[in-house]
Amino acid sequence: MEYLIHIAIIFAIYGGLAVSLNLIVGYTGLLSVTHAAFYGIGAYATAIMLTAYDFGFFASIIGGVLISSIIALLIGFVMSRFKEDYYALVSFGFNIIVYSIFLNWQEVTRGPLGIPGINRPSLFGFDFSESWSFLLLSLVFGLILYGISAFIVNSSFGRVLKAIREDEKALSVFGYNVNVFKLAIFVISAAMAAVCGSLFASYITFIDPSTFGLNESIFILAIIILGGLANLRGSVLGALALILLPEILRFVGFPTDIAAQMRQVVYGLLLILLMLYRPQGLLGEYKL
Amino acid sequence: MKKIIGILVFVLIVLFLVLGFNQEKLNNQKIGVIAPLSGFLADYGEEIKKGVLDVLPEGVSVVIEDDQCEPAKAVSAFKKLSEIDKVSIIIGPGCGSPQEAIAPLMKDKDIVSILSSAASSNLYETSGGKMFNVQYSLEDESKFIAEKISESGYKKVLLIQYQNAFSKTHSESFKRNFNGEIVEANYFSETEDALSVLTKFKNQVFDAIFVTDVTFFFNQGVERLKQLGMNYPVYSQYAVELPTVIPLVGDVYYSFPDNLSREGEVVRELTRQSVDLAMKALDKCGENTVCIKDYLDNSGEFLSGVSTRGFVLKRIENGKIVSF
Repeated sequence: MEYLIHIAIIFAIYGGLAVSLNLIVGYTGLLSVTHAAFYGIGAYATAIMLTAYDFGFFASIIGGVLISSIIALLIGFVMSRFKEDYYALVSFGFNIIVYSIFLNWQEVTRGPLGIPGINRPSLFGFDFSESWSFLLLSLVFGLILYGISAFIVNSSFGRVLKAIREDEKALSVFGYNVNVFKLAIFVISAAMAAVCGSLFASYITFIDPSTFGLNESIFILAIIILGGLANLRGSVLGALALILLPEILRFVGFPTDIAAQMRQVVYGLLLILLMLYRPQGLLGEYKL
Repeated sequence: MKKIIGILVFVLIVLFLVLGFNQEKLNNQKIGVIAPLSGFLADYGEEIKKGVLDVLPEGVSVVIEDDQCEPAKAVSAFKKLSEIDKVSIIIGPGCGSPQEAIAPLMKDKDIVSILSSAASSNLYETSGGKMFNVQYSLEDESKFIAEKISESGYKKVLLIQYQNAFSKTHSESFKRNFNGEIVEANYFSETEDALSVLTKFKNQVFDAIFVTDVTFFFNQGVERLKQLGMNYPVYSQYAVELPTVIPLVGDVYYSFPDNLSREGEVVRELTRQSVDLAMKALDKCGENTVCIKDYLDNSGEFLSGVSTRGFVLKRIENGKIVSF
C-alpha cells in the first residue's frame, strides 16, 4: 500500500508541475524549458528554511513562492521579449544558470552534497509524516493548482493567452501589451512550480542539484506533450502515464541481467507508439 | 508506413512483455538490489549487478531495481522492495544521493541494507542503525591519503575536485586532515577537458597531486598533466582500480580496501562480500530483521555500521597494478 501511496504522491507533484507548465507552453505557445529551475527554487527554499532557520513547512512554501516569483519576474522581463525558438533557448540557458547556482553556492545549498534531514510538515499539531497523510496534503495542493489553472484558462486573461499563442502580432494591433501577459503567466507558473518543489523536498527529505537539471525540465515538457497541450486534463493524464509506466515495468520480470535495459527499451517503444498515433498528445488541443 | 511502424513497435512490446512474464520467480529466500543500471553511472551499476549474480546461491532469488542514481527513483525502488517484494536485505543503493534519501525511511521499516561502495559515515545513524557498509567511509579514505602524502614529506598538494557528492566528501575530509598547503583545482562539469583547469596551475610547483574523482582520468587528465610538464606523483582513491579506469591512469598511488582477493574487480568483489554477509545473516535469522541487524552489528565486520577493514596503499604503473 505504501508503494502505491508513494506513486500517488509523486503523481500529484508532477501533475501540479505539468498543469503549471501547460499554462505557458500549451495555452500561451511559449516553449519554456526551464520549469525544473523554479521547481528547484521551491525545493531549496523549503529545505533551507526548514533545516537552517526552523521555519514551518507552510511558511517555507510561501517563501519558495515569493523567491520563485521574484526571480521569474526578473528573468521573465527579459524572456517575454523573445518568442518561438529564441524563447526556448533563453529558458534553456536560465535552467542551466539556476542548476549551476544550486551546485556551486555551497554555503547556502551545500552544493553536490545536497541537503538531508528535511522535515515532513505539521499543521496545528497534526503531523504529515505518515505517507497517507502526505498523500492527502499533496492531493489538496494538486487540486488547488489545478483549480487555479482552470480558473486562469477559463477567464478573459486565459483567452488573451490563447490569442497570444495564435497570433501575437494581431493581438498587439488591438492594443494589448503582450509582453505583460507573457510575463504574468510566466510568474504564475513559476510560483506554482515552486509549490511542487516544496512538496517534493519535504516528501523525499533530501534534495541535491541533480533533481533539478535540464533533464527534469525536458521530462516535465514530455509529460505535457504526451498528455496534450492546452488541455489541463491532458497534463494530469500525461503525468499519470509517465509516472506510472516505469513503475508498471518494474513488475515485468525480465531476465535479471538485462531487466533494466529492457524496461528502458519498452518505455521508449511505448512513447514512440503513443506519439505515432497521437502526435497531438492524449487529449491535446494544440500542436507545437 | 505509419501503420507498419506502429505494428512493428506493438509486436516488439508484446514480445518483451511475454518474455518478461515467463520468468520464474518462485524461490524462497530473496534479496533486493538497488543500483544505477541505466543513466550515466550504468557501468558502475553493472559491476554491482555482476558481483551479486557471481555469488548468489541457487534457490535464492534477487530483485534488482534501477534507481539511475536519482533519489526519487531510489525511493520508488525501495518502497517496492520493502512493500511488494518484502525483502529483508537490500544490497545498495550504489550512489550517494539515493543512500541519503533512503536512510531515514529505513528507520521504521523491517529492512536492512548493506552498501558495497564507500559512502558517507553518517548513514548508519540516519537509518536507525540499519545501513551497513562493507567499505570504509569516504572521510576515512581521504584522511588515509592525507597521512600517506604527509609521510612522503610532501608539503604542497594540488587537489583536483569535481562538483559531485563523492568528490566533495573526499575533498572536505582531505582539507581537514592534510597539514601542508593545498591548492584547489575545481572542475564544474564532468565533461570538461582536463586541460581547461590545469592550465592555470602549470607555472606553480607542487609536491603531489590528489585526484578525488576518476572523471579526471576519463577526461585525459594524465595526458594533460604530461603535456603541461606537471610531472608530480599522483594520488587517488580506490575507484581507479575499476576495469575501465586502469588503462587510463598511467602511474598512480591509491588507497584500497584491505582484504580483497581479486585485483581489478573492486566494486564486484565488495558486492560479492556484501552478498556473502547477507546470505549468512539470512541463513541464521530468516526474515527477522532485528536478528539480521544484531548479527551484522556483532559480526566483527562493522563499527557503527562502517567496515572495520583497513587501508592499503597500492600503485598502478603504466596501466598495470604493481605490488607496493
